[in-house]
Amino acid sequence: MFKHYGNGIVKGMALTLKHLFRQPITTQYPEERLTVSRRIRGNVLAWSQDNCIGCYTCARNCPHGCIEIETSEKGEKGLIPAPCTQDCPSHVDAARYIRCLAQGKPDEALAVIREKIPFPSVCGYICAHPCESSCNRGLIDEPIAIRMLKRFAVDNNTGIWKQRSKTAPASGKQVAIIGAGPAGLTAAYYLAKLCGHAVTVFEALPQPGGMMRFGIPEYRLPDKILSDNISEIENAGVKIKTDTRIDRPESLLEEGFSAVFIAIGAHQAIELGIEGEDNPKILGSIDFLREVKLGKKVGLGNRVAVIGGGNSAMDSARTALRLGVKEVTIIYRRTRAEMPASPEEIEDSLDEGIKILFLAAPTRVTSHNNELKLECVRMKLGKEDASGRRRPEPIEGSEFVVELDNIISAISQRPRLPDPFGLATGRGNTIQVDPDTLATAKEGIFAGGDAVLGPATVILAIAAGRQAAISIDKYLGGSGIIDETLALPEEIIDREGGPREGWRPETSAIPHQQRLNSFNGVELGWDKDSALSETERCLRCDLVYGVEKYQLNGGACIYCGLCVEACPFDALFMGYSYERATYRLSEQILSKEELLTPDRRKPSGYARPEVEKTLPKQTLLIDRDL
Amino acid sequence: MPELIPQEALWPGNFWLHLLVFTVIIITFILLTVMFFIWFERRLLGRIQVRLGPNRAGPFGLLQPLADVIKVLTKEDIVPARGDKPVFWLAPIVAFVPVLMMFAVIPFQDGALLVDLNIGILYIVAVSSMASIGIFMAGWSSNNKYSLIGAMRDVAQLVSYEIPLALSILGVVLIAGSLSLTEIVEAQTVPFILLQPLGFLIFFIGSLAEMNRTPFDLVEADSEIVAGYNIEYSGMKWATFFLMEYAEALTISAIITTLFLGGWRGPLLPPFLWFIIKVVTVFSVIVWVRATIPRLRIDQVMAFTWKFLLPLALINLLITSLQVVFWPEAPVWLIVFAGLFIMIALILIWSKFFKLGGDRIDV
Repeated sequence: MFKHYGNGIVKGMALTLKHLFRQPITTQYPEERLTVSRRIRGNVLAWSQDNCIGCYTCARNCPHGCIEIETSEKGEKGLIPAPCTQDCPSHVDAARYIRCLAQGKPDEALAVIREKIPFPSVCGYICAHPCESSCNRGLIDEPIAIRMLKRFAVDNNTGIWKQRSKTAPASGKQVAIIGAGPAGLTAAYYLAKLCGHAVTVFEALPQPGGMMRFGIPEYRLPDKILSDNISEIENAGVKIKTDTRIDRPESLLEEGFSAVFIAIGAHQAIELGIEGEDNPKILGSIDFLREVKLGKKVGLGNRVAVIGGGNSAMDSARTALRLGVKEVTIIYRRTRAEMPASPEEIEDSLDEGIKILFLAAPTRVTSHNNELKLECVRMKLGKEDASGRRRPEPIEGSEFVVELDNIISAISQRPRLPDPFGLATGRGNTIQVDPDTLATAKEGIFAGGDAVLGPATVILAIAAGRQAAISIDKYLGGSGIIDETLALPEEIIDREGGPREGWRPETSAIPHQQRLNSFNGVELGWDKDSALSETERCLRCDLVYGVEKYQLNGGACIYCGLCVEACPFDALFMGYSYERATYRLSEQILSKEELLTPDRRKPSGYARPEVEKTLPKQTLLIDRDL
Repeated sequence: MPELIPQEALWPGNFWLHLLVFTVIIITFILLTVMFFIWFERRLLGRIQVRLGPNRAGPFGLLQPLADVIKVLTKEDIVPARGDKPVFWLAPIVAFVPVLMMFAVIPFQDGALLVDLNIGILYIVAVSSMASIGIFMAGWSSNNKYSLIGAMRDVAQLVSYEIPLALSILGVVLIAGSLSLTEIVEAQTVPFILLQPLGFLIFFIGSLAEMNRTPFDLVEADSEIVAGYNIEYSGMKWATFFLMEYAEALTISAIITTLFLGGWRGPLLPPFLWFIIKVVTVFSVIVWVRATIPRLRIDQVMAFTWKFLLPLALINLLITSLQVVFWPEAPVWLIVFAGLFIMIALILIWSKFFKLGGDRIDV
């Protein structure tokens, strides 16, 4: 018994006595401040009244409901435009027209939209809505359905903006525009209406509209809607000459036009670049869609594969389905997460019975008794490339064959430039221009839209058209001001208790059976109640509400930091402890076990010398054994 | 009362002045030393654990206890709603006052004490047990099972350890031939630790148990009963318990110094400085023990005193009595060696007998 305990006690006492004479170890962590106890008594969550606009994002984001906020009912126009307005290429003041709709004035809302774009209906139907991606409401639950609200405004207006619009006096100068797409028509509209130039638009195809008409199927954008918008442009004095192909822009200058704007779009499908591609049964998606729109008969078999993952692949696949094809497959080399097509389109495609083959890429096509054999290879995702998407890599020996009747290639498009244009081209055969003025190297010739950007969206083309109108007007000696005031000065309505909680109303679509054999519009607009309830969700980021009470329930707060991350205005920030937590997450080097050396003979306090170098100088390194 | 103290011992003049001056000295000494001890213990413990200990407030962290005092004084004072409130209020005072009272008879140097009682050590044994009443009051009035368990453990521990403690003191008293602390110090031409090594060991262990220090801190065993009797206390009342514990450590150190280490006696340095040096040394050993030995289990604690300390204390008393009665002129070196030999032999022999739970419990 004594041996057991006595030895233990004596040994222990000797050990503790020995430790008494050792050098103490102090490891100071680099992120630890030199003041005393900041992490305990400091301000853990700080709120800045100057930055807070009372948008309730933090309160709605808190998982424990710790943040209590009360704002004044009256909002004031702040200095910063809302993110939706900022991120719209044409800077349509979405926040403002949503408020107009909330007041029950779709007329005013349309006037606000019309101030910036001449295609409100088109945008209401098919805009790629970058505004929704940047919407701050998306930080809470789901962004405001800005496109649907725009569609509601367009569908329910009485055309009051026309009474307020003015046409500028004629300037006596002539402008030629090649291509009646969104960019060309936008430029034409503003040059004719607000700058007073005589504008003629030349279009090679039988109808104006460009990609809006020939690239987007009828079921997404009904022709009537597009024609309405285009006739509005024609009313502004724009002459549109269809079936007229221009081969040399200089010839127009010689004919007496003072400036030429090339907006020919990107109408040539890019080849797949695989063996056996020159088969007539392989169609380009854009050619296919155009043929269908022009009413020509496109002979498709029962099994069709669409190669690609963008919106035009979805359009081609769904169009093929409507033409009576039994089996449509989309082949895409990455996964659904990387698909460039908009999620709603993918959802709708799957809904309509289209199969999507992910992680597969075609390698070879062979023709066999009226039948195509498409050899594909399985892919796996590798490292991220420059665009942030993971690069697909083929898996050796995973080849397989798909038997098909037709293949539609929807990889991408590029501008089809006739040789005599003689303009410098860049990546993807796009025209090179001065990014600020859109001027080409040739005097008086401007270019914009998809012809410059490569295949992009309608709203980007409209923005390019506006930019072209400004710089052409300046080139012709005008002021370059193409902004008009169509809406009345805004009366800001009161808001009680913050934005409405909840998700956006459901968008209804036509029944499934009606879709497959007709080109009827799939998506249905909203009624008044849905639109009104959606406007109530808006945070009104461009307004500033006085914050009367901002209270954090410290007992319930778990310092998760979600509110700080959600705050769009940097009005909330975490104090010391939070910073420490994030450092811990990002830098795994600060684990104490790793910092203390397991080897006592080693003079450094760090087990990993490579880590030691990365630490700030104030870190004390005290030797463990001296 | 004035006749208790001989007229020549009333240092500043008359009785009342003497009382006033020494009361102030004692209270100041206790408060300052407790603050020093808190800092000292934390620093020493830190060094033993190969770290620095408090080092931010003031030079070497010396102002740390002061900061703690301010913190504790400004804390919210909470009284349990269903507690026995008057008792709850009284408990810290009842616990602290006896510790303060013990200092009345401890000589800082020859004649420098409040009152030189001729039954000084008996008085100390009597008064020191009273602190447990305060602790039990605290445990009872808190209306909390943990605090009650802690308080009951304290009482059980006190009752058990008081016996070997008192028996080991008797050895000292027999050799010195007096109960007065001044006379005990004066009798120590050789420090009694050498003459009574076993008595010292028993007294040291017993007093560790009496002031509830590791390894006998079952009263506030954090891992089992959270904080024991003072679980419901906060603010100044809690601080009073804390003060009581450290004052008790100080007092025990002072008593050990007086009984076994020759009190104020020592060469060269002034007597009171010797006294303080010895007190701090004893306290350092207490901290050293705390840093080394883990907490015991309650059955181990009880078995240790009844089966080990008590028999040894009785044998020690017997041997001392025999020596004092039959061979009072024994040479000192012989007593020293005999004492050491007896201590080692007894401990070794008795540890053979020491069993827990009738040897059914494997420890």
